[in-house]
Amino acid sequence: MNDNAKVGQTSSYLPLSQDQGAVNRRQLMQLAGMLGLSTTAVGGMFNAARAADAFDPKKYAGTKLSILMTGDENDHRALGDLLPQLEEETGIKLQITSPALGALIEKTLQNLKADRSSFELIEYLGFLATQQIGGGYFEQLNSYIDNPSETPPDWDFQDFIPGAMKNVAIYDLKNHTLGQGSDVYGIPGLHSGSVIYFYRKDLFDAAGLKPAKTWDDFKAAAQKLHTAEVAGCSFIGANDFSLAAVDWYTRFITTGGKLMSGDPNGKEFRPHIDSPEGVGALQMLIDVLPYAPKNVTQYGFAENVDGFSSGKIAQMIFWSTIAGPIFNKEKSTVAEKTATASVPAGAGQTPRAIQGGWGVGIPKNVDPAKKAAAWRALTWITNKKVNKYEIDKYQIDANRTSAFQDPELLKRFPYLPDSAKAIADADIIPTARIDEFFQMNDVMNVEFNKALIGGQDAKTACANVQKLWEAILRKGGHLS
Amino acid sequence: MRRRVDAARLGRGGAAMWLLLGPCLLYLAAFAIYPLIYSLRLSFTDLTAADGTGRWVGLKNYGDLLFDPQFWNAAMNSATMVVVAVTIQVVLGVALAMFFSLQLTGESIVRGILVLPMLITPIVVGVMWRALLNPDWGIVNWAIARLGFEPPNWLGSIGMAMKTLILVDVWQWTPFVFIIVFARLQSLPEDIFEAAQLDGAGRIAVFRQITLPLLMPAIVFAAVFRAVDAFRSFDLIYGLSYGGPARSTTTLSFFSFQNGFQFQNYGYAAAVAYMMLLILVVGTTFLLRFVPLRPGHAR
Amino acid sequence: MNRLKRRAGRAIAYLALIILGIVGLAPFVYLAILSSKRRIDILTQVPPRLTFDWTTISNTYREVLFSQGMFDFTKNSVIVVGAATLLALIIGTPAAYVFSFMRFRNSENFASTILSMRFMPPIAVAIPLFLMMKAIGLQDTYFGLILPYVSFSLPLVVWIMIGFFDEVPREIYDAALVDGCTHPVLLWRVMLPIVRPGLVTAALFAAIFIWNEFLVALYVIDSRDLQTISLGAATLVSAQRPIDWNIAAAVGVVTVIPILIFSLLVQRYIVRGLTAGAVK
Repeated sequence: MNDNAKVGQTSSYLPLSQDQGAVNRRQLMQLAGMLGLSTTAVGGMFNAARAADAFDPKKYAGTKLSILMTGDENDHRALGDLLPQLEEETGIKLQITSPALGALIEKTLQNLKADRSSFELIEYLGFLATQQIGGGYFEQLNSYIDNPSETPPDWDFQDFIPGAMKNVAIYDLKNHTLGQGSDVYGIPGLHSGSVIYFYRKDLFDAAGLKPAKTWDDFKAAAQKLHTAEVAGCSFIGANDFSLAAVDWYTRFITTGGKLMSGDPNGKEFRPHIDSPEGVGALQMLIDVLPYAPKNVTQYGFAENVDGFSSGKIAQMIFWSTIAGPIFNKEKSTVAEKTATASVPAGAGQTPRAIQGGWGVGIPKNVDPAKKAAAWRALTWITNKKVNKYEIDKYQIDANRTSAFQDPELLKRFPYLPDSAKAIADADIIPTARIDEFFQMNDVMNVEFNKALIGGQDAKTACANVQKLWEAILRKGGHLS
Repeated sequence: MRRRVDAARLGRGGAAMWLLLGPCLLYLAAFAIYPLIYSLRLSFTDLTAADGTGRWVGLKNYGDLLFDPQFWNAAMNSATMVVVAVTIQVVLGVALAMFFSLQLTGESIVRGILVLPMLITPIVVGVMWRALLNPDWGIVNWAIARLGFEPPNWLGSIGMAMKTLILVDVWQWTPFVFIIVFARLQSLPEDIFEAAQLDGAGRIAVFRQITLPLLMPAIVFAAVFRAVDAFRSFDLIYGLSYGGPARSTTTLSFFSFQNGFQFQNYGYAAAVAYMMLLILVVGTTFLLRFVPLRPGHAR
Repeated sequence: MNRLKRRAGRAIAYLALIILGIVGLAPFVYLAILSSKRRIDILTQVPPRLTFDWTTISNTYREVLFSQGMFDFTKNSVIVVGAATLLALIIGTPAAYVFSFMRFRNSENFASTILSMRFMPPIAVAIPLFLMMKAIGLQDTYFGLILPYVSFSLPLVVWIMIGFFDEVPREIYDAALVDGCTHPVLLWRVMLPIVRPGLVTAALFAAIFIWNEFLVALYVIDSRDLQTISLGAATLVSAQRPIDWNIAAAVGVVTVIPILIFSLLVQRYIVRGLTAGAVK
C-alpha cells in the first residue's frame, strides 16, 4: 500500500552519512590514486572519520530517566525485568511509574501540559493518539530515527508492524489525521493487539464441530456445546469498554457495517449505529444469551478470562492479550485444550476487529538535555530483543513482525500467527479520531448492556445510541 | 452573670486570641480559597483535555447541567444513597451502641473488630466485596444457594446494584455512627438511669424519653457527618460498580469524576462539583436551623 | 424465675456478641483464605478448601510486599498521615480552644464555615491542590501530600476538640484567668492535660479520614517509591484487567492486618477519649 511505501522511504533507515560516505570514499580513492596514496592508507583515514560518528551504546551512561506507562497490562512487569539489562548495555537508569488506566491518562495529561514533564517517556493508548499527539504534545522523532549515531544500527525501523505504526506512531499534524503522512511521533510499544477467536479444541472435536468461520457457525456451535458445566460461548456483557469496542464492533464490521461516514475533522461526521448491521450485531449478542454463562451480563474482562481459563466457556472472541493467562499451565486448566483462529465473519467479509495497542513517545516539554538519552532508551525498550521477551515471558502482543515470526516462539505459542494476522488486518475505529471517543463508548456500553439485561430491545438501544451520539457530535462541532 | 463574664473574657482575649486562632484560619483560607476559586472559574469555561484553551462560556455549563437527564439521574441516585444509607447506619449504629452498653466481657475485642471496615482502603473494600459477591465463585452466593434460595444479581441488575452499594456503605460506615453514639452513651451519668428504674419506668420508655434525647447531639453529629461524606463518596462506587449498570449507581460525585477523568470535560465536571457544593451548603444550613450541632447549646 | 430469665437473657446477649464478632471478622477471614490460594484455585474451588500450601503463600506475599512494594507504601502512608495529623493537632487545638472559651461575634459562623470545608467534592479539590503544591516545588515529595492533608484534617480536629473543651468546667478557665494566666499558658499548662484523651481521639479520627485519601496523592506523587497505600493498592487492583484475585486478596490482607492491630489497641482510646470529658 502506498502509505507504507512512503513511510519506508522518508524515514527509512538509510543513514545519510553512509550514502555520503560512499560517494566521498569513491572520490577519495580517485584522489588518492592520483596522489599516489595507497588504498589502505585512505581506507584507514576514512574509517577514522567514520568512527567519529559511529554509534556508541553507552553514550548516555549515567543518565536517570523516568517512564510513565500502563500498569494494567504486564508491560511494566516485562520492562521491570529488563531494567538491569538496560543499565548494563546503555548505562541508563530507568524508573517505571505504572498507574491504572484512568490514573495514567490523568497523569499523562498533567505532565504533557506542564512546563516540564516529570517523565521523559510516556506510553499512550492508540485510542488517545489523536488527542495527545494531535494536541502537539509529543516530540517529532524523524530526525532521531534518521540519525545513525543516535539510533542503534540493528534497531530496524522497518520491522514494526505497519498497522501498529499507523495506529500509534504516524500523525499528520497539519491535517489532523492519524496514520497519514510520514511524520513519526511515537514508537509502537510496549504492546499492540487486536481480537482473536479462542475455542476449546477438545470440546469441538468431541462434538465433531469445526471452529466457527461465520457468525451462524458461532451460534450453532454455542447451542450445541452448551451444557450445565460449560457455556456454549461467552462475551463481555457488562457495562464495560470492550462490550462496544470488541463484541459489538467486531460483529458489526464483519457483517458489513460502517460506523461513521464523513471526515472526523469536518462537519458531517455521521454515525450509523441504527443501521441494520448495527442492530443486527447487538441482536446477535442477545440471541446467544441463552448459551452464555448465567451471569454474563456482569462479565467484564476479568470474569471472562477467569471463566475461560477455569474451563467454563467453550468459545469466545477476545483481546489477544489474554492468550497469556489462558495458555499458562499455572493459571489455567485449559492451557492444552485451547486453540485460536481468526474471528468469525459474515460472508465475503475479512475477519477483523478493532486495533488496540500502545505507543511510547517523548513529550515535547522534556528537559532538552535529556531528550537524546530518552530516545536512546526508547530505542532500547522497543528493540527486537525486548519484543521477543515480551512474547516469551508474558505473551504480550509485540509490535515487530520479526517477533511474530521467530521460529522458537512460534513453536511454543501456536496462537501467534492468528494474533499477527489480526493485528495486520485490524481496523482503527473511526471514533478514536475525535476527543469524545470515551464518552461515546461509554454511552454505547450503557445502552447495550441495558439491552442485554432485558431493559430494552436491540432496535431501541441502537436508536438511543444514535441519538445520543449525534448530540455529542453536534456539541463537539463534528456534526452540523 | 454569664454575660458579664463573657465580656470580660473577650476583653482580655484580644491579641492572644488571634495568635491562637490565626494560624488555623490562615491555613484553611490558603487551602480552601484557591481550590474554590479555581474550580469556580473552571466551571465557567468549556475546558476539555485536547482543547487546552478553555473559553469563557459563562453559565452555559450550569444550564446544560439542568437540562441533562444524566445529571438528574445522578442527583436522584445521590439522594437515594444518602437518605437510605445514612438512615440505616444511624438506626444500626444506635442499636449497636445500646447493645454494647451492656458491657459484656470481651466486648472491647468485638468492638475493635467492628471498627475495622471504616479503616480499610476503599479499593480493598471494593475488591473484598466483589470477591464475596462474585456470581461464579463467591462464598456469599454459594451459601445462599446452599440454603435453597436464588442469589440476587448483586451488581448486575439495575434495581439491585444500588441496594448492594448501600449495603456495602452501611457495612463500612455504621461503625462510625456506632462509636460516636456509644461514646456519648458512656458519658451519660448513671444516676439518671438509676432514678428512672427506681421509678419503675419500662426499658422502652427509658430509651425513648431519656436516652434518646440525651444521645441526640451525638446522633445528629454523626448523621450530618455521614450524610456529607456519603454525598461526596466516590471511591466505593469506583471500586465496586463503576457507576453501572446502566448508570444506576452513578451519583453526582461519580458523575463529576466521570466527566473530569474519563471524558475530560473539565469545565462541566467543575460545574457539577459546584452544584454539589451548593446542595450541601443549602442542605446543611437548612438542617442545622432545626437541630443544634454543638451540645453546649442544648445545655 | 427472674434469675433464670436474666441468665437466659445474658446468654442470648453473649451469643449475639459472638455472632457479631464472627460476622464482622468473616469477610476478612475470607480475604485471608483467598490470598493463600492460587488464582486458578480461587476460580475452581467453591467453597475454598482449607488446605494451605506454604510455597504458594510465601510467593504471593513476597511478591505483594516486595516486588509490588506494599511494604514501602505502608511506610509512606504512616509517615505522611502521622505528620499531617501531628500538624493538624498543633494548629487546630488552639483554634478549638478559642472557639470554646471565647465567644466572639460570629464565632458560630466561623466554626460552621470551618466544618463546611469538608464539603467540597474531592475531584474539584484535587487538581487545584496539586497545582498549588507544584507551584511551591513540593510536587512528588512527602510535604506535597502532608500540607494538603493537614487542611483536610483541620476541620475535624477543631470540631472534636471544641467538643472536649466544652466539657471542661468554665470555673477552671475563669479561675486561671483571675490568677493572671495568659491564654497560651492557660492552654498549654491547664487545658491540655485535661483534654489529653481528646487529643488522642481527634488524632485518630483525623488519621482515619486521610489514611485512605486517593485523588490528591494520585496527582502529587509521581515516583513509585513515594506512593501511599491507596495509590499502591490502586495499581494492583484495576477494574479493567484480569484481577489476580490472590494478589488482590493478599494486598487486602497486608493492608488490613496492621490496621486490625492498631484498631484493637487504640479502640479503647477512641471510646474513652470521647467519654472522658464527661463530668461525673
